[in-house]
Amino acid sequence: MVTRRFALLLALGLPAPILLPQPWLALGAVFGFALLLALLDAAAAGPLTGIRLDRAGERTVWLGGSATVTLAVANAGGRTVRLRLRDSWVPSAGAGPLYHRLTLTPGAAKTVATVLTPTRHGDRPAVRVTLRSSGPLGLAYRQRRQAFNDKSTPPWTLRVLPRFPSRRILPEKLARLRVVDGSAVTRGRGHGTEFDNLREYVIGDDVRSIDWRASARAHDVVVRTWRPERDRRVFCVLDTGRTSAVRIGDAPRLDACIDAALLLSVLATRADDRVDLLALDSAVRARVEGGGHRSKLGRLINGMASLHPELAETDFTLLGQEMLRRDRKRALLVIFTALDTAPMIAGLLPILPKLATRHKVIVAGVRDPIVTRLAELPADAGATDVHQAAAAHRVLAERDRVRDVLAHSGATVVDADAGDFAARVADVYLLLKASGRL
Amino acid sequence: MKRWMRVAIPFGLLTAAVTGTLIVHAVEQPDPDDPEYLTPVHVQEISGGTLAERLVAEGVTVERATTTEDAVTAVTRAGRATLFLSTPDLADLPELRKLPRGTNIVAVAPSELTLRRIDWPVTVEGSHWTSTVTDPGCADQVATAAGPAAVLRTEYQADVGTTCYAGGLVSFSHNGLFVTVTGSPDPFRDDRIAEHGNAQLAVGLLSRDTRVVWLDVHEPDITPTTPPPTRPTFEYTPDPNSTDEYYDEDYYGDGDGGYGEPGQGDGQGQAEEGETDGEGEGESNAGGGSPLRDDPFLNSLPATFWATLLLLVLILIALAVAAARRLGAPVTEPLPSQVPANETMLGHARLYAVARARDESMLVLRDAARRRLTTHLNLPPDADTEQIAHAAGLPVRYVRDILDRDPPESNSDLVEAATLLQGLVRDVTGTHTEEGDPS
Repeated sequence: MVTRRFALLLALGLPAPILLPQPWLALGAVFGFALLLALLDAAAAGPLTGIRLDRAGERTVWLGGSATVTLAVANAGGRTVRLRLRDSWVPSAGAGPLYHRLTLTPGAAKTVATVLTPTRHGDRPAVRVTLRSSGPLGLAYRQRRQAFNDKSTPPWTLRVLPRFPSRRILPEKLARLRVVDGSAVTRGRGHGTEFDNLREYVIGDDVRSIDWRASARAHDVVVRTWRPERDRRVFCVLDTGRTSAVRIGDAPRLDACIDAALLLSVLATRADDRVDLLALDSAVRARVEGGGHRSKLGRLINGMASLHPELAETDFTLLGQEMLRRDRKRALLVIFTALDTAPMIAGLLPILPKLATRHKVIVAGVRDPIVTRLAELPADAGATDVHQAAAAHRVLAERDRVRDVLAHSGATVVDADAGDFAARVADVYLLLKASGRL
Repeated sequence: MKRWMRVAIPFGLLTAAVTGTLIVHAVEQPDPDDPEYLTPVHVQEISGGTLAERLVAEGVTVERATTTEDAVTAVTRAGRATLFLSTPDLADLPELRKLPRGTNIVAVAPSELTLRRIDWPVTVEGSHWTSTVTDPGCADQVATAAGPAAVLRTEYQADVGTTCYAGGLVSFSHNGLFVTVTGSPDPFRDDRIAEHGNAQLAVGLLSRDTRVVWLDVHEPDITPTTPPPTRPTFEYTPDPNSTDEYYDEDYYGDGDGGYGEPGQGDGQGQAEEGETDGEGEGESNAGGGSPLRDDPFLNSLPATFWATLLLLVLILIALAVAAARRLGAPVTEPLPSQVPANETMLGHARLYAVARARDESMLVLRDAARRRLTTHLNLPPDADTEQIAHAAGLPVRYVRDILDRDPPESNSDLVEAATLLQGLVRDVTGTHTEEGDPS
């Protein structure tokens, strides 16, 4: 295949038909000369079959950060290759630079680096490395078919972990968790419901904590100590249906849910609870459960990273089947969804009473801050502002009705703006934890 | 810019330029179908009124005939006369056989088809883009007296007679008639007659006799009584290879092929001929076989131009080929939804505003205010205004004026009512923003 230089070479021959007495002969000579040079150049271009590719670099990155992945290019052939390559990634990987030029002598190897700044979480794969070998004159090149490039491309996937802006409030929530934990040990019954151990009575202990049988056996006054429940199951259910696809600010609603679920998972893990994850819409998209306590958080983050909204109606009967089939112990079931009327009334509400009888259910819905903002009239309000406020109040009224209906069915409802949504969910968890209602 | 457009735009511009030039040129040509074309009764751009006046001034009688039959009758009626065929392609040529011997005929730019139909020993050798001024180059007295004239546009060649102006003027005798064929109408036109030796030439050609019969026809002059293929009635026998086609299809047909397009009689007529002869667009050297060969514009371009043009085309093709192959196909992935969560809410607000639904908006706001007040004051949801006022410690009249206000009549009423409502809620609840508390 020819390059633009070939056209330039022809352009240089433009005066020939004008200046020479035989214009047609001059035309033939110019074209023939250029074509001959191009053929020779293509023949002199190094073969692509001797090129070997290999990748190395980072496998995971948090959304908002950058990762570097290198591509090692080696020439195993016997001729010099003037290479131009394009390292193609999916557009949301934010890869750059895409194009590289290399000259590889026989046996030589060079490395090119691609910096990735992803714009979405999830798996961002490297798609294809396309190779092109140019001749020494740059008039023609060799390029194989796409199937050849697909075959020679080393696979690589960068896992982009979801944004976790609630990380900044994590220390505060952990401090509150420690307070709950510590107060249960020192203050005894009332702040924990799970038996811890026996110890000798000291002045100030609640006399109701005295274990008379143990005192009889030990010939001393012995009291029971209590601690908050541990090893409780927390089930994070992420709704990845169509209502999670709409954007709140510049991110999908699902991102706010993932943020809140991550905060809750970290807190619950630190509180020695078992956290499981279930993501579903019209089908179950992700399930993380079981496994070691230490590796659980990493698995949860990985599981959430691969989630993206589907434009499908969420089938909450799948949730019922999963919970009734698997859960024999009571669990805290936190459903991260949107409090839209139709999906809640037609989808979740029919199964909610069954779930609420066996589990503690929290329905957490992210609210668009604009709704709250527009519900308040500005200082210099006009008729348009009033109509917008009316529309916003209408939305809020519908959400209130949904909230009342869900609460009536036994669920605890968290309805908060995206900014403090994760904190509100964590607060409810800590409240339940402290009151021993998990 | 898309890749195909990079190729299409240069070619498109080139095609548009060439096509536009051809169209403008065709439009600018005088149209034999135009009633003003070389008519002796008007003095206009393409008319021949000036020539008629000059002939009269020379003592020549000008008689206008509007049919070929009338013209022939006028010529034969009294003495010698010159028959001026200003539009020979439209004349009823078989009528000319009735002319008396010795009659002078002056024909203006007859086409190849017309010449072959009338069987004059003249052929068209070529055409020029415009009329060209040339020297007479012959010993003809009229031409010599006129000097250089713009008579060369259609170039003729005759085996007999006299050829002047490099083929722009041919004179010969045929069947006892003295025929002069001119290659351009310019010497006879009012707007060109004053240039060069045009006037002397035109007047000289038409003043050989004391009388000129001016055939002024501008539509096909076909004798309706003439039966269809009546070739034996013709005095002159056309070419046996082509007579049937010309006679049957062109001459007595619907006129599409026989008379051609206005101002383009030669080329168009010959193009039709080429198609009927089955020669197509090949490089045939037969007279009038190829439209490209007969196109005066294309014929006037040198080989250098064509060679350079072809090289340019090759360069463009090379550029297109170089740009055609991408270094890797584009990579696609599904895009996330771009629908904002508040789209429906804002749509409702716009609908309220467009419909001027002030009552509806106010009703929603009042219901919301009542709900917040009753919730805050621990009142039942259906508490009336008096209960709310008592619970809030506010005058009943004041609260009623806000909560039970009349429907707003205007936008300013709406804004005032909504502002008062918001103020009441803030005063009672002591909040500025609504919060969604978990139940």
